[in-house]
Amino acid sequence: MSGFLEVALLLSAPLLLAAAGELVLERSGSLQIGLEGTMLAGAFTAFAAARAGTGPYAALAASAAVGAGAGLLFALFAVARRADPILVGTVWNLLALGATGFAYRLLAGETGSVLQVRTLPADLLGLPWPVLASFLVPPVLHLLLTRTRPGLRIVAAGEHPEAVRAQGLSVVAIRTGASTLAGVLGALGGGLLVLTISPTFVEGVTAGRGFLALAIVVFARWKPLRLVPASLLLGGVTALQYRLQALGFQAVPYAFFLALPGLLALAALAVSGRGGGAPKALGTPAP
Amino acid sequence: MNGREGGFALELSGISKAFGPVRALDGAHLALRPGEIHALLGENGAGKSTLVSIAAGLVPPDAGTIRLAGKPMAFRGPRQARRAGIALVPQHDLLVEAATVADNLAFLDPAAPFLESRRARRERVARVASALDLDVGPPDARVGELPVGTRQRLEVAGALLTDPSVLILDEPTAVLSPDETAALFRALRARASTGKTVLLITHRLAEVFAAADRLTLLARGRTLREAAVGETSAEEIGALLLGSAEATERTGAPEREAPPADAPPAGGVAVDGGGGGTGPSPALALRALRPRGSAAPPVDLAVAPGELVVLLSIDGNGADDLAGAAAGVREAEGSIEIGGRKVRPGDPLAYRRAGGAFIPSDRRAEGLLPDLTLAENLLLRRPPGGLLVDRAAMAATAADRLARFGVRATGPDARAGELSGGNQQKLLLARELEPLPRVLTAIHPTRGLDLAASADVRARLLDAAASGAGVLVVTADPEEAQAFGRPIRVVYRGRLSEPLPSGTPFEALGRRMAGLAA
Repeated sequence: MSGFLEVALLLSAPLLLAAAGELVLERSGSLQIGLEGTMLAGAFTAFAAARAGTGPYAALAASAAVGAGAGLLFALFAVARRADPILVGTVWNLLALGATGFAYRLLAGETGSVLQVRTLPADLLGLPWPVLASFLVPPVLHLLLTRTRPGLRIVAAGEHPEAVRAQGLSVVAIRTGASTLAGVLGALGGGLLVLTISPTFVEGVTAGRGFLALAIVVFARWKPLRLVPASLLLGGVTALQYRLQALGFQAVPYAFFLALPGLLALAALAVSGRGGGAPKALGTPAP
Repeated sequence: MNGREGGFALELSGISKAFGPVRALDGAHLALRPGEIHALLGENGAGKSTLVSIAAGLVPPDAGTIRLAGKPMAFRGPRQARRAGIALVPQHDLLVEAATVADNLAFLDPAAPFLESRRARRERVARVASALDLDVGPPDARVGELPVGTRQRLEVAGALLTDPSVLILDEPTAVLSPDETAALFRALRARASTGKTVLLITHRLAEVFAAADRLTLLARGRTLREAAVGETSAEEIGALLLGSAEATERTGAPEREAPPADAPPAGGVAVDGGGGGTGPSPALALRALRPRGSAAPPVDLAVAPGELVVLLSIDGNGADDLAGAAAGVREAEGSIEIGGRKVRPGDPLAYRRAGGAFIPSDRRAEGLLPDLTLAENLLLRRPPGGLLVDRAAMAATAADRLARFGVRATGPDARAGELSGGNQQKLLLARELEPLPRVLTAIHPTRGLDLAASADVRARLLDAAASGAGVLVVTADPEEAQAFGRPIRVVYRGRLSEPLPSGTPFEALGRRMAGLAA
């Protein structure tokens, strides 16, 4: 069973990182539904860097850098220029899918052979330390949002942006910062995926994890500490699905197991849908 | 207008500011002495809010000088003004409802450290509450759950964290009870007696003459009068205010003359509203009505055709909820009848179909669509039946109605959101009173309006009653309630008093509102 737990943690960590970044961005009042695209960009960056001969940690750092750029780019359009964040996010998803697929073909050629990369070494409990460190991100964000001055400002920007402006602070600057952090964490999630459980790149390797992370934020009702159980649940179900497939469980078509995390996310959203917790100014342009 | 008693704490002179084609300020002057409570008066749109926004660094002036303790200042933003010692408490509170009292105060404190424990934040609340002798609510309570009076004190406390030499309050008493108002003024007086300056924007002359030392009267962006309160009288200032407002009115829109064929003759049917509406078929009858979630006993109330009933209460005592329930915008238990016809509670469409009209308390958020034109807003109550809209005819009838209701605007194609508060309310009246409804429910119809606009709104409501509509008005202002000259029913914790004559003394109304008299 220890194998199952390992896989569950490995699968949860990318979801957790991506959801944590998105949570901060949404608490600041903006939202990036193109999280899938950001994860994909992070995954491809890690893959390309590792293929270019860097070590896995440097590959992970490269993902973070690309994520910061992605977050700034999103903020430029959706925050500073006040474009509709849903449209910007949708376009970003399509762009990231196409661009990473194209770049992968340039890199790999049309050979069709699978290019492997070196994964992160296991440290503690048979897991790489970045995976374990992911689980420290929610408590840190909890402290950020509840105990620090920038945290108060992020929350105020998401609840009552006019109040932020009346204090002489820039809502655009606050949301841009949050978007950059969301980009870094989302791309790290994607990079972690390639550098741990699927040490190669295929088109759409993130397989909807960005969307699952969006659901996790809602499921956690925008509270950082609740991200941990929510991510573990969805990561665990994904691990279970692999295990059931591996056991050759034939009674149910395997497509059902593939759909299981999504179904669970839907069910969780249906249950937690009422009760709120959403930032009041979520999705509204900065004043 | 002179600094004979030494320097001014803050002096703004020759201040001009235009927003696009609108001249909000035109050489305005405002001088505040150390240790005084100074009242800033003026009709809506006179430029009061713009002037204090300039003083607080929120808006840069086009021209003019700002001197703080004699030193010329040019603020690049509100933080700089705050650091220099000017703090503004805006009219609509800027608190984060989802956050606690302690977190809100930390947010409002420019000196808050980067990292702060929950205990340190709680201690700030206790420190502030005891220093100012103001109850700002429990530190861990969510601000959204606090009564408006507490929220208002919290906002004041937040502004005072930096111990500013000039504290500016924009209409702080609009939502306060007489007791809360008195407590606030006590705190402000204590502050002024330490040499700090308080500037107060208000519409209530009684407050000015009870609490302020000096006053400045703005009209159309200019300073009309600066005086010590002892040198003038409420009568003089009231006349100046009304005069300036009417003067603006006359230059703006065509005079309301030659009433249209379907408009009521002025002072038409004289109706004595003392009876409590026991006629055969009241315009509005509430039987055992209780707004959902209310802890108060069910309420019976009837409004006869031609009758106007005033519900007077401090916010939070259920008058708004009751009126909202009557108009179907709040869920309720019990029964509602309009003209003898049963209407399902909690169904605003049924209320309207039965002949009901409604003026909500928040005209911008619930009454109007600010991004649509005036003509389109006027159509909302009775959209045209056909598939296509004849825009030319729509504009023509709209222009006619706007003129008759005295809405000052560039034309029927102006956006509703561009109008001043008074004109927005007139626009709402133009929509809700034509054609004449069977019953009109109006919640705080004059809140935030200047004297002239308030008087106009009251006259329209009385006209509607005189023409045969049943009118139910909710207000929190005893003077306003008296001004209707119709029976007043005080609502305290959801209970209605018996009808009181409109001549009931102000103090007696205040006591009943506070629940001190049965």
